Amino acid sequence: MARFYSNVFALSRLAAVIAACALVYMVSHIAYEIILRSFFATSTFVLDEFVGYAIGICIIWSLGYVLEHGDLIRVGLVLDRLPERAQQLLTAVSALVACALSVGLAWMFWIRVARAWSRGTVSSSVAAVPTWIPEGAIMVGLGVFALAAFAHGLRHITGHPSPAPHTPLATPVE
Amino acid sequence: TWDLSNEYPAGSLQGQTAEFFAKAVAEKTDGEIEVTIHHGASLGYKSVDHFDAVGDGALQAASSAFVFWTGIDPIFQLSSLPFLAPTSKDIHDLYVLAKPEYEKVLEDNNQMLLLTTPWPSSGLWGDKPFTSTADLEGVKVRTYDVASTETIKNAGAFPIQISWADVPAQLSTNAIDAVLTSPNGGVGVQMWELQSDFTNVNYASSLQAIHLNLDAWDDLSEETQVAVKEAAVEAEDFGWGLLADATAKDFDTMRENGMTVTEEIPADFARNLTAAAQPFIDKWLEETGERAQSIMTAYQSR
Amino acid sequence: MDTLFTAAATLAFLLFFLGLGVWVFISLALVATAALFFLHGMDLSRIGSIAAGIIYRYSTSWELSAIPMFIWMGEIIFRTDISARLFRGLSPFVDYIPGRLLHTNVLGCTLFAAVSGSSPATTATVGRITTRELSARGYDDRLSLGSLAGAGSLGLLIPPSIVMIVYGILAEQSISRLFAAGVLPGLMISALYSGYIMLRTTLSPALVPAKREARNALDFLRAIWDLVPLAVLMTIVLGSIYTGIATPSEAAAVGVITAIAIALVTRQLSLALLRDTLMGALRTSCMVCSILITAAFMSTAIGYLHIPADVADGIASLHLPPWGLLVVLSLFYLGLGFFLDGTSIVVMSLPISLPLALQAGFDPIWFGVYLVLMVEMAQVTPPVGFNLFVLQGISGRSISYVARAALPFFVLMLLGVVLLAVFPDIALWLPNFLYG
Ligand code: NA
Ligand code: NA
Repeated sequence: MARFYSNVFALSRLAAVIAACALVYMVSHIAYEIILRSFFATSTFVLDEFVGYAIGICIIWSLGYVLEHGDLIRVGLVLDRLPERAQQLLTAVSALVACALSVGLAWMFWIRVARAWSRGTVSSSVAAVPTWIPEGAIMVGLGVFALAAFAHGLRHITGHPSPAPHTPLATPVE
Repeated sequence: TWDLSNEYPAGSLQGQTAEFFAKAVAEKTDGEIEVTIHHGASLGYKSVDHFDAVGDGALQAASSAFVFWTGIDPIFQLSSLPFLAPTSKDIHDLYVLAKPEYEKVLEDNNQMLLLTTPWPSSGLWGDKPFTSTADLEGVKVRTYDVASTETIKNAGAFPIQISWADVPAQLSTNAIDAVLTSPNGGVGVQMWELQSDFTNVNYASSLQAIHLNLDAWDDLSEETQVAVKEAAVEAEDFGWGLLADATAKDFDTMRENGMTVTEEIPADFARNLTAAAQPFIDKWLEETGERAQSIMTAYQSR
Repeated sequence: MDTLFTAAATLAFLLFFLGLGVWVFISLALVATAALFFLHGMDLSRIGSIAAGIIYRYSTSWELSAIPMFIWMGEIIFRTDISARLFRGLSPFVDYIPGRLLHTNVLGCTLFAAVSGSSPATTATVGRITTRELSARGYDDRLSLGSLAGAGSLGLLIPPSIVMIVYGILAEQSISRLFAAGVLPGLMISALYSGYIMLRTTLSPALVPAKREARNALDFLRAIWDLVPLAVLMTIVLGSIYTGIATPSEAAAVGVITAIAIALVTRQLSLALLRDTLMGALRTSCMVCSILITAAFMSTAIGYLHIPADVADGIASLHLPPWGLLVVLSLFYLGLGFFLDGTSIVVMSLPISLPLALQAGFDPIWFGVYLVLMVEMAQVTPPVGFNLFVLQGISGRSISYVARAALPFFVLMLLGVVLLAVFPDIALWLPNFLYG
């Protein structure tokens, strides 16, 4: 079991590294565009489109990693007043619901990907990017998150500790 | 009740046509079909999303600009090819010739074409009139699609593609010098606060369609179908009628606000611009194949 | 009646899922699904098709992209000594103002609002930099978080502003005029906040730490030197926008590159710094943007249920006098603000509320500023208030704690709306002065 959890987390972390690369790419593309525009009076003509793809990957692909770090926001109003075991079970239920939801959504994306592929749909820019590529990227990201959510739920049922290093984002100095 | 999504504001020509259609449908079906219009992309859909949203039945109907569908099927590029159809009559002739193709593509994707109306032809907004190729030299022009980008580049200017929302800020800091858009589009954001001139180069007019999900259509009784068709025909006439009036009215508004409107450009400049557009048109014809060729032949020999 | 039931049921779904402790972004998607399924009667495949379409459109939108980049910039400031220097540098100057460094939240957000067009980006970036420093120095957490929640929403009012652009395009109003109209009301709101902080800390001095001993001239010189890095950063980012080198949406990238350059010059740049700031930025961005994305889906669902349109229609049928209309519209927008985000509130209600407002004789530019203020208030009202979520995420405090902390600042915004209604020139003077 421990192996399953750490493998899933390794996958989530890999996806997050790719998401981080997407963030670096966004900054670089904008910088390149500004230089082209300011000094060479030209443009890549695909700035908003490509940065758009990157932001999608940046957010969706990091979901699993961020979930396991406990950074995704939830309202603790009821949760905090429950005994430990009940909290764990409620978390497990939420995680499994999240898993089901993203599997369903990934399936809807698969329909879009298949259609874009068979119809040969491309973006209406000079780059003419086949739309199955960005849509497929979102689909894969949702799949990775579904797996992470499943492992997260299972982990809370079995009471297994988190494979993520404990590095809280919020660093209150008490 | 049908939900009809429209990317543009309620007051735009597209919004008015959609409202007219909704009202006509309600009247002719005695309120059996109620069309709720979601203007200004308020449902979250853009024109490019409408195609599959209507096909899948996520929306029963939508009002969409063809220019955003060129990646789905290149035939939708036809109506916005630069300098191809300069007059309102040309635009209509081209539409009638191409209509069967549009209908076929939509039908293959589980939807039908209800009506099609034109956009006013785009021109150049700037701080000076553009009446010769020399005037365009080195000018940074905000363009909106591949065709306009390539044409402007060939004409000797520098095309820049930025989001419409960034245009006012970029104009006021002189990061761009001119904007290619319709009189209606510029009047909508009161462009005279930033620019002094409009040159009616008559770049291109695009088409806007209201399309309906086929399942929603099949659910209708024959009688209701007839009524909806009638409403569509009336709304289409209304939309084409808006075109001439709207452009004249927009020119008046511009002049009232101190702008100079150049309504005609010299013939040699027009010829140069047409030549600048030709490579794109040729490439498009080749890529789109026989169906494009035959429409074009019919159009030129009409 | 039907509309009220639909609205109440949607709110009940929302409270149910949020109350169970389901992650907020999952809750919003569930609410949308449940509302479309039970209240609209759609089948699951249609709901799925809507969800995929909207989520794809919104998650790959250019407008969203500034948020993670600004957050990355904030993360670099946070993990280098730029932020500590800022507070060291400001300390001697604010010694004689009641509330002292607490004003950095208001001032920081006001300044940052001139760079960023979105409210979550402002709150997250400034909040990441200030919350820990203020807390470590012994400033009251509640006042600090509350002022951040309130001032963070200034990103919408002070130009550039995404909501104003959307309003300008839909209402066919000049965006330059709208931007100009937002400046004075924005400054007025931040003055109200600062005034409140002064009042509160004068009444309860325990909210701020004890004052340090007297300072000499050298301390002041050193303080100015400490302020240089951030001043350079702000100047470059603002300058890139106001010279037209970068569009407001691109300024975030300029900010990141400048922050990295400052880290390089001050010899703090390392691979570890880049890695830590990137992963930190990813975590905050994912937390914020995942909620924004599913909130877009929920807005779509509410649009399909026609709730805003029907209520606005109902208001139209009341035929109220201008003042009555303004009060009822404000209540309507506050209600929408409980569960919708900024842009959605504007786009869904505008086709009906704008003609009403114009008919009642309100100036369209003034109405735009008023609307943006209403949207700002929505950012700090639970259950769905983005600034509250952002601050919960970066402070680790509970949502109810943050919401209570934000309450006084919400009341101050309300006061701002009243002032704006009584003195419309607060908004209209500057655009009229600039554009005639
Ligand atoms: Na702003
Ligand atoms: Na709210």
